[in-house]
Amino acid sequence: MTEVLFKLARVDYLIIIIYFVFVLGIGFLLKRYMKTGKDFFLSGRSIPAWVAGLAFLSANLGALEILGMTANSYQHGIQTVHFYWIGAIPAMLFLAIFMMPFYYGSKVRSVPEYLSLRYNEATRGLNAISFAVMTVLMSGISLYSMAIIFRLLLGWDLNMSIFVSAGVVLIYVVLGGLTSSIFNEVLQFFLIWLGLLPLPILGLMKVGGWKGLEQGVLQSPIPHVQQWAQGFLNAWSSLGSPATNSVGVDWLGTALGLGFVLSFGYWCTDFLVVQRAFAAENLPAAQRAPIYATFFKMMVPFLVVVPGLLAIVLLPPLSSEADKLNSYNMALPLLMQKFYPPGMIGLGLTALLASFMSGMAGNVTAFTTVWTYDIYQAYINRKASDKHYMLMGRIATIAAVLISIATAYMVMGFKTIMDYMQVVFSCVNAPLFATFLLGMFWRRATGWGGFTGLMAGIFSALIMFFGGNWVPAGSCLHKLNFLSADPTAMGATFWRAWWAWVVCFLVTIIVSYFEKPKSDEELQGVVYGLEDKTLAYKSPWYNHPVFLAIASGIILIILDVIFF
Amino acid sequence: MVNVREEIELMESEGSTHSRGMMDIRFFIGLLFIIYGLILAVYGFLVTSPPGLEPLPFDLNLVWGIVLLIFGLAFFIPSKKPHQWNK
Repeated sequence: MTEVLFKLARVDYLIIIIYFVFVLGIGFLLKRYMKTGKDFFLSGRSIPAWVAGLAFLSANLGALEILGMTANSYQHGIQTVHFYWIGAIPAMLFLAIFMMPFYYGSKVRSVPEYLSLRYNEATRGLNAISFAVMTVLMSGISLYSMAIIFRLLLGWDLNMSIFVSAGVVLIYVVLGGLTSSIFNEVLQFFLIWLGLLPLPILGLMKVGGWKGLEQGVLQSPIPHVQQWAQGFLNAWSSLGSPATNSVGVDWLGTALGLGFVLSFGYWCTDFLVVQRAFAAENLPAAQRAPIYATFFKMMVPFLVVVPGLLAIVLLPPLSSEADKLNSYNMALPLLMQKFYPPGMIGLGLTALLASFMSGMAGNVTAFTTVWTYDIYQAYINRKASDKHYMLMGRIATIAAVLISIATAYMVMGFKTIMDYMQVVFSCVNAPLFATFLLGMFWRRATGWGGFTGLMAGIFSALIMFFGGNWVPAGSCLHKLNFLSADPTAMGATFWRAWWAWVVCFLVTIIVSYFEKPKSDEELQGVVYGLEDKTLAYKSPWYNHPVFLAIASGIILIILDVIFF
Repeated sequence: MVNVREEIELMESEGSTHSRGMMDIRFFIGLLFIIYGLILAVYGFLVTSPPGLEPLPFDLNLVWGIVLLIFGLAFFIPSKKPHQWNK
């Protein structure tokens, strides 16, 4: 009998069961509001900004990320904040202010659909298919990771975890569509905060506040912490060169690769997140949603980075072996074991369970929409009724869940798939951002320009990645910082993303000049200069998206200065 | 591509049932945390923490249960007022 971390008391089971009942109940209650495709796939475009904002953030704040980032902070210290601050906020603000008017204003129902309006069907197809495949893979990975973690923590049977969670997600998404998914994401958001907030609070109380934590980290006997010591407590000062910090990156690579290309590529084009903004009730709400999300995003490090540092001080040294009970990834659950009595344990575990499940639901709803509108309607069956597409949406939901289950078992057999997913994401998302940037702001970009640019960008990223293997060891080419076939090499990932973006940008421009430009009529509402004027709105200055965005940006700068 | 615009127009015109008094999410958030708050607070009041944990000057379940309860009420009560979703 393998050892597990937690033995659940009856009160813990009660808390978990109540969560399941709630989630299914919401699905059943929402079913009667799902009358049209607009209801099912876009929540009727009626969600208030704050709800869309929280859903937007939650779609991204999965349990894997929480556990993984805490582990990251245990290994690398405060630099982990870059994923939440510079690596997210500028992109989210850019999306809100500059891209939302085109996304929401053009009334497209998905990101690929925007590409079909702005470029051509080939570009849409490339994006739709790559996104659909990646998103359903992520869903399976989510499912698998959840099962593994709950087996480690509670001894739950892998198969039972997979089928029960998949089953619950299936039911509430088939019934309530995007709205059900959004409601559950918002619930997840509050569960995560309320379920995990006591950990950093109690931890800081225990070590003697922030100063006590700093002291504890600097005096830690753990080898990898001792090696980098002060660097663990600074976000930017040890990024002078790859050799002075444990992550192996420099500030330029971080800013260009993570801060610009990777983060913009993700937050501005990934339909999983953007779909939640599409559901907002009007354009200003769709713009405020990501901005509200930034305020919360900036606070997440308190929940994730601080516990990682606390783990350095309060727990015995953790191991780098992934599936062990004392691995880095278990930093957060081990802190829970230290502080939480039965009752709170149930709440904390429910928070983790909720985020896994809503992560899966988010992937499923994004896949279903892209499949139904960008693949099925676009290429297979153009002229069916709305009711037919809704039915297709429900069938696609079932298919997506089944494929996710199959993927989960596949990942079980080939664990390295998870590492490679990160590579795939960066290869596809980085160039995509160039495609959008040119599409939205440069009228001269043409359909085939977009397509070839995107293809070139993706291929160049793949070549850079595999090139690390083809170049003979010891050759001077290895000095090129983007050439590395190691999927976990962060510095290489950032640089590779940057160069893939550059390739896509240049190729799109060059090829566009060879093609006839699009007419103004074709570009109505989708490009800078031809915006839909009827969308102009009035808003009091303190609630205006631009004001809110500036406020957010100022807070970002202040935080980076404090933790410099 | 002209077809895409037609399809979008068609779907937008189908309208939606959401504007007609859909469920207020604050109701669900409020309800869930009121329930959780009560469970934790009562459990914390009745049962003392097992000995293996970090000792604290208060019962975590009780204190946090009350926090959850207040949080839940803060969402639940306003959700009972009639609310316009589509202004």
